[in-house]
Amino acid sequence: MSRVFGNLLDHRERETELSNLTYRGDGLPPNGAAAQKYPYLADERLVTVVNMSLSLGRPLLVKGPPGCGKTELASSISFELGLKLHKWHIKSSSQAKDGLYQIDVLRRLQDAQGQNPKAQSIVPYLRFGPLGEALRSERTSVVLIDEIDKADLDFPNDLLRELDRMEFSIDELEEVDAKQHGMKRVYQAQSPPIVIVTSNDEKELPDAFLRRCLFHYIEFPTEARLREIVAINLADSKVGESLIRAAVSCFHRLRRTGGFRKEPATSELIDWVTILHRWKVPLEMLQEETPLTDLPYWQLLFKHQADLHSVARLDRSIDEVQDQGTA
Amino acid sequence: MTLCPLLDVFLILRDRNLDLGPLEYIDAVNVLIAGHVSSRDELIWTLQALWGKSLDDQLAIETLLNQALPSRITPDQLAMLTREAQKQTAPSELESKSELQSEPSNSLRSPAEDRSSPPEAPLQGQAVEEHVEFSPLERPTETRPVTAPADDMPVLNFPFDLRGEVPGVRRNMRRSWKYFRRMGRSGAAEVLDVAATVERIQRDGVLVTPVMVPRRRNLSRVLVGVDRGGSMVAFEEWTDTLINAGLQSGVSSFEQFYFRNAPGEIVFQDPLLCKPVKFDELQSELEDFAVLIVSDAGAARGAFCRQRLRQTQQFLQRITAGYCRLAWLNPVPQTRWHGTTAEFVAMEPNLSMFPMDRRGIDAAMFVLRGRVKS
Repeated sequence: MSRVFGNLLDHRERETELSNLTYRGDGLPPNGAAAQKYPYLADERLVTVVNMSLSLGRPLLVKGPPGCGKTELASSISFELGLKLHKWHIKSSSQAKDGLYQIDVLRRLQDAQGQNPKAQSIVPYLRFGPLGEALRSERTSVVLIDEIDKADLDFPNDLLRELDRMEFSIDELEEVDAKQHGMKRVYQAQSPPIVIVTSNDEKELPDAFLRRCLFHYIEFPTEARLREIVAINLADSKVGESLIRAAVSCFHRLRRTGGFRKEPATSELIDWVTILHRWKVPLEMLQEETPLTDLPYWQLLFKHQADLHSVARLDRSIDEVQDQGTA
Repeated sequence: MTLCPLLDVFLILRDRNLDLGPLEYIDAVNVLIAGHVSSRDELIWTLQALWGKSLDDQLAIETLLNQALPSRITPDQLAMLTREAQKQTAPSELESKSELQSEPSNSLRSPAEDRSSPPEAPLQGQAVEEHVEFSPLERPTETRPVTAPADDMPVLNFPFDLRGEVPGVRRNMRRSWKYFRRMGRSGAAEVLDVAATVERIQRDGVLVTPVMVPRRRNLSRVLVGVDRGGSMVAFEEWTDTLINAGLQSGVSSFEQFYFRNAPGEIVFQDPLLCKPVKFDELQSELEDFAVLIVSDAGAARGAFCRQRLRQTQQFLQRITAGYCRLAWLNPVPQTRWHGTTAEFVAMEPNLSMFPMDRRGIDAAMFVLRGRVKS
């Protein structure tokens, strides 16, 4: 047993290009030019976890409420580190193999029927998927596996070998065929990509997959953080700070009422502030004392009729209590 | 606590059924050695990301680390911690630790024990004499005379917060639900069946249309009936966990209804038993459904009730007329069924009653799939 652990310690310490990269979470590109800032701010804990993922070469599994930046994290990492981003949006019909490569069998069959010499080889019909491209590329890249819980339960397990050893093989391709076209049967990543996996927590993921990944839960941002996020997202539109402050405060008041089928999230807030700015809504309409239902275009924040009703009901009951108090 | 808080926390988490092995410990040590951790917060975040695979797990890790680590850690202490942790991965240490693990929960330390025991007591069974270096985190251990516990024990004024203390239950239930899968092809024919197409070409000599088949899907459909109120109040947390695990397990169709004591003609759609519905309306689609009943069947009261038995029998007749697969989970342990209504319900034909432990839930899932486990 001692021998086994000794070897494993060495194996895990291998130096990769990844270990030299550091993520800062401040939105600045590699050259540090503040003018091109990317609208994504990561908090200290997320930055630590991302850097750990880079250092260990392990995938990072990110969960959190909708609209809090799970998918954008990968874009932010690829922007800050100057790396290519490969996006793989999982659907319920997705198979693990599709992310690596796909072979257009039907077309090859039709070409073979038509005596087309192209059909002799499988290579013209071979197309690489996002993960396959990332493992083939010579430079490190970022792979986003978005909403992995949408797929079937076995899907993450089918990816285990590829994620662990950062290699995949094309079983349908024969050696002779591969050599003729300058391809390989087995692709091992020269520099392993950074893998970010997001999940909406609709389905549970298999344990074997969870053990491979680091896990981070992105909490809904605080009010102060929300202001920063809105400011950085709307930097181009030059939205006034006082408008952002007032809007975020009203947004928080709305969210605090709670009990929603779908709570308003960051993306809805950004849309709302954009409208408030573009249609030049005066600040007086966004005060602390303004009743919730009098806030301009507040319905934009919700996606369910039931939620609109519960806000209206709450406002009415507050009014009734106040009336009774004054009467 | 002891010389190496990292290893202690790791072992306690393993006792609590977190999915951790030696590799996870080595990964943590490697991260520390690589120098990526420079503060107490970062140490906690690191271990949470590495070892915790859900929010509950991460909460358990955070709680234990807050108990095990001092409130402030200087860089020197962090370096010493790293060295101690690394030393634990030396071959002789790991072998002795693995021997410890095989001992039946002698080394299990409950949180109540942690709070009340004096901080200098060493972990049971650890060979303290082997270590010459002492961590500056603790005072050196020395043999103490046996004394009565101090009078100024802290009084627990707050209710017991079990969040993060038993994350294993939920995980085991999810694992069990995964056994309940019935893969089959249904829906629109949109996937190419290569083998069948090639065979058709062989037969016809030419490709006219390829053979398409529907996608393979999980066709498992389950109707779960949960007993609420009265004797089942004590098990509410547990049955809710089972339902939530089922909802998240990817079962194709998951319907639930609630009842009190025994299901009858009228059941309820909500756990508070406020929205009644006729069971026959639910039953209309029962042919391909599996039915799971979660109820103590009178075992919690400990007595035999003829009326309850009769009501249950009538309900069973209603279901089994549709030839569906039926399983019954009883949260009360099997040893307590004797002499109660549950014993007689369990003897009903076409009904398999299992206790609600891990093996029982797995067996119930086999029954629901249509494969009876002997």
